[in-house]
Amino acid sequence: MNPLLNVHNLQVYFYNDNKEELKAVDGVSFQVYKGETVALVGESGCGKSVTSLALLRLIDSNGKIVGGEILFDNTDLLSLSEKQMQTIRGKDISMIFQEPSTALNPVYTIGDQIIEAIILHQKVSYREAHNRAIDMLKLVGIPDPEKRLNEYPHELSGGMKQRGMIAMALSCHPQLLIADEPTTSLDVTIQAQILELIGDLQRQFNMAVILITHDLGIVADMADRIIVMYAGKIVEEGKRYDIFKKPSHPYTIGLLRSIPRLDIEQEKLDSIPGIVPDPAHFPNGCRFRNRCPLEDEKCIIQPEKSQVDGDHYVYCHHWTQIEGIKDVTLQNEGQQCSFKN
Amino acid sequence: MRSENRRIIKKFFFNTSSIIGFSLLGMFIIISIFAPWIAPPKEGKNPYMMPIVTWSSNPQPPSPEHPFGVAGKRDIFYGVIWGTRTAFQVGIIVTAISTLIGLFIGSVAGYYGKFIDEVLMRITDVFLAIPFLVAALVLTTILGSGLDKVLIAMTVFGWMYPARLIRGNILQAKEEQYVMAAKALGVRNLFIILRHVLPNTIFPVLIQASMRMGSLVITAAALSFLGVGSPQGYSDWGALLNYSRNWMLGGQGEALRYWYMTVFPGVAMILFVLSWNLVGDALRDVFDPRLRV
Repeated sequence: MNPLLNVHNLQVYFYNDNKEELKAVDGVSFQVYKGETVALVGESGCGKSVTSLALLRLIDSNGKIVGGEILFDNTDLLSLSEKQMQTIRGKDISMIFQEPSTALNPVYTIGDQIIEAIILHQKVSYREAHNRAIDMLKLVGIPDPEKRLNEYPHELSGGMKQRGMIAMALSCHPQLLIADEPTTSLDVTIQAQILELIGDLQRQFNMAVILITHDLGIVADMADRIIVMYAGKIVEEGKRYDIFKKPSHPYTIGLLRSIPRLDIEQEKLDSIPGIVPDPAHFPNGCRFRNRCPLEDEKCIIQPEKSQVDGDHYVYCHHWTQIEGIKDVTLQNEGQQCSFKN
Repeated sequence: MRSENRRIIKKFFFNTSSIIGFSLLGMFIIISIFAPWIAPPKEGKNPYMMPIVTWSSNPQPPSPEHPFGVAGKRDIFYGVIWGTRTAFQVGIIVTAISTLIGLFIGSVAGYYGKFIDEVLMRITDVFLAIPFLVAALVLTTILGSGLDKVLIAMTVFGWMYPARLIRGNILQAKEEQYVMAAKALGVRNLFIILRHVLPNTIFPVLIQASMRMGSLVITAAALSFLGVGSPQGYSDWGALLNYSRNWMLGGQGEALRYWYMTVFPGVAMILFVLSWNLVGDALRDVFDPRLRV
């Protein structure tokens, strides 16, 4: 099957005031198939948001997509004109943002904004768009949609706003939805509802979702496949089960160990020693090497993609030794895994 | 009615200073509309020219015939009444055109940034570097006298203030996530500026415009007073003051002898400026979210 989205060797560089090159995304390749959920995971500044913005070609003016291909439905998005790109944004690829309270324009009602999105991409009358907006609000579970349609963002709660945002993003039935930390600003009960809603709508529209998050709890719930990024590069990718069951990159292991857990007693949460390197001065070779317990002279060379098994790939010279130093024990699927030194 | 609109109306009309501002403004509007009835012009004459009522060049104090007195052979009452129309013309035309130019230049500079911003802002700086009154004075002298020349001069040197203001606001607003969200929906740049950025940034400009409306009238009066503004005999508060130039210090031991020459046009001007400032304050109170309680 052809992938819906095929990103090949994507490179996005930013330039700071000293004209230094910041390789925010450096040679990232991945595929997204119709109807599946792919999670991009990593800590702040690892390039996951930049990757997603690059898919819509919305990189800030101080950054540039320097190389690579983004094939969406077999068209290279990087070769399209800005005008053609505008017809794809919002119609074929939509995005929902982290902060629903700032992503909605405060001077328009929620209805105005949904209607704008519909009229922008579909040749329908205002009346028709208005009715569709009501249907969309109903679909995302907003009670009394006729009334809510005429309310301004400040009159709605956080969860309600995020539902409105989703209604706006999905109003033209996109094939791919990019959700950039969609639940970070919401409280936990609302988080679960929003995630469930995205999942439901995804099945209903047979839509692919790229979920960007640093919250592995969300990933364990929703993702079909997981891509772990570190310092602008993919370090490990695989099916959800594989990543949780057999994490093969030292960074992935570090991430999993730093999740607070209820089933083991810990005085202090584990963390990965050191800090993310400055993007202007990434170490050559493996970018994780100065924080990695397995580092040796081999790591000066950028590791190749190695197949762990099936669809599970890792970029590390020492992945075979992982289990040698870290006793990884796992209980059943996904969420439940524990590591001991 | 929507609660938001109700709140705006309430704020507008239940606040002493905005009531004063709006009633003063209303009074001036009524005066300018009914000028032909309050001070009927002579038939066949340009009503904006103050008719000559006496051949003596000495000022005459208020009398039943000339309630505000006579200055420079002309009726002050007539000049004050028809001068209201001139004041509105100057204020509205200059403010509207300079605000539009400023909005355009400021939004282009702020939204596109980089090189365009640099060029436009340096041009703005050059215009700002020249003192406004001096610049307007020189330009009016070059263009020749006449009210239209005054308007041109004041517009040419007046667009920088709204341009700067809107640029700053746009720089702030364009980083907002809803602009990114609109882009992600495929909205065109022009519509992003018009629909998403400007409505969030325009209110300070409108408030500034209403405040400037009053002060522009003072500047126009200053130009007329200096003799480069409206032509001889044109109904204009500044021109009336110009007539009083030689009499201002009074005479024969009475400093306030010719008080009526300055007081009536002066009071008209003060009230006009005051009304616009109070209206501007009222607009700010209603639209500036930081002042909401």
